[in-house]
Amino acid sequence: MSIQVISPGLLSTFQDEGRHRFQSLGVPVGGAMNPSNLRLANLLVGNPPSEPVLEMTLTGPGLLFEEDACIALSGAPIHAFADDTPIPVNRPFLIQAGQPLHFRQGQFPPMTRSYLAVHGGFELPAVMGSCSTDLKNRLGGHHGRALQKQDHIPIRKPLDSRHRQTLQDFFKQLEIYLPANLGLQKKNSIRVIKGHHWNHFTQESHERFFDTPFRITPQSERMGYRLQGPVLALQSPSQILSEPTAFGTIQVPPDGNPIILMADRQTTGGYPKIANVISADLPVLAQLLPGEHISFSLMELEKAQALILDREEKFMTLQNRLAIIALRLSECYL
Amino acid sequence: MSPISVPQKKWRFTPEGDACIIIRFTHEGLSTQVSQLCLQAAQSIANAGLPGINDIVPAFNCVGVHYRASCWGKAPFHTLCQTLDLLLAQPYFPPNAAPEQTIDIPVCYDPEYGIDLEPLARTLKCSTEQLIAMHTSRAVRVFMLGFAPGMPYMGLLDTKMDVPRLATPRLAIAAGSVAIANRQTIIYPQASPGGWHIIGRTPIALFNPERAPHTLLTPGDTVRFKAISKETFTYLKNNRHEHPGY
Repeated sequence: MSIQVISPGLLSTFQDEGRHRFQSLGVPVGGAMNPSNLRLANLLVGNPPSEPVLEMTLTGPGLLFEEDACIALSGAPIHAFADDTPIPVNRPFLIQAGQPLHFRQGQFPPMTRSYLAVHGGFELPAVMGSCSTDLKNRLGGHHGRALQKQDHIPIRKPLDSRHRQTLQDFFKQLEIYLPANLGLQKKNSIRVIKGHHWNHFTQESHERFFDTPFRITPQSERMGYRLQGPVLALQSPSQILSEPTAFGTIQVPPDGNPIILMADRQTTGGYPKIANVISADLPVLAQLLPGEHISFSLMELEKAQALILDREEKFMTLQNRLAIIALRLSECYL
Repeated sequence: MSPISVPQKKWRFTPEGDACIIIRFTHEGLSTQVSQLCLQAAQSIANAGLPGINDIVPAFNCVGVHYRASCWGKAPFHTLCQTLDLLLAQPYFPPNAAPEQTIDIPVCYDPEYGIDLEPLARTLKCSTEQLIAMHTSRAVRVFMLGFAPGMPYMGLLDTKMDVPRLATPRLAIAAGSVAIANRQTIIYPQASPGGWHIIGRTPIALFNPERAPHTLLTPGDTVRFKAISKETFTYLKNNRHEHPGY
């Protein structure tokens, strides 16, 4: 009734929507770097949208399923196989008991993160209301750490193999239309709204911020993306008291190289904030690789929030359309 | 002629991206009064049970409100600001529960733990004993928790202890390290990097995800530091359950 980890991959951690309600205690939110992929992977296997999934970075793990299970991969167009059968991305797939799930390095390593959802969910203990793995504080997920070889991850609802054929036929016939704006496309332009300390920066910094691309340095991970490009300067050095930060806050330490705060960011920070990445582009950012370049463009808050509402509506439509998956699978439990 | 008095609003709202609002109190700098305003605002918002609020984060002179824009109509920022504005304008009723507490925190100021104690005493032109006395003689307020789970920002210390942070932060600081900078004092709950002057170490745990409450300290609490010997430090470290309250 569990999944055996044959090889752990580069960095594979369980993530859900994050550990909310405890930022006032200094506890980071964490959660999926790509919230759209989290939600999509879950909907494709008939789960509630916030069920924990496995977030896999660059190279995926090798996994052996002990029972049949309905899985879905979303995110990077990763080359995944069940034995020798390719597993399509963004579709439900029936993996059979004893079939190893493995990943081959593709010709194009185009995106950073891929998400694996299993129907019924992984059996993980919630810590402070969330199953997200907080690597730094060793909380949540599987013992507060990334997957390791020989781990066993229990799953809640393995499927009865007698339904194998009918389920495979069902999945094959299932038509899935994914709206483009669910953040699945790769792009390098990132939209931002002005940050609280925007006016503290020099005119030259304002221009450079939008005119010149920034490189995502190798020192970029779940906590933040460190960027390299034009150095951004304040009009005059200012002391700022620590204040709350958000996923997507772009802060500028004294060296002038901006940092985009990502999922595992600290709850508060004392560096000036030049801008905030809009929510609609966080999934895009989560899929970019170190070494790639991004450029920023300005958006108004109202427009950014309209994009959130639009995405929400698209997800609700998709959720309704895919409700049949959970219904169908509920007839096939062991 | 005296200027015409205009009723001045005590707060304003700024967006922190498209999913967070920061309520900024118009007081300058850092004080117990503005800290109290922040905690009261955070409490009022929590009590109101507004929809789609993920986190309420009080800081020194502002409060972060993380929200789901999809729960707040067609103009989420605007609508939530209006709601918060009405809420904050109401008189504040202190809650019955969660009284602010006074907590003693044992600190071993041995130079083995307080690695910056001696250089700092030289900078401040006092003895290490005087430095320790300054740190222990004045009760401090917990302004906020941040940076790491359970990490308290406390103050204000004696004006004599107004030292800037280290020019180059250290990469690794031991868990429990007690440090000062800018008339504030903090405790690093876990091993981490940091740029404050380390003057001692506490054997007390500040965060435990398995227990309620999860943190030893809460914003608004009063803290008194008590100097302890190395022997007491070791004893308390090995018998953490004996510390009252945690």
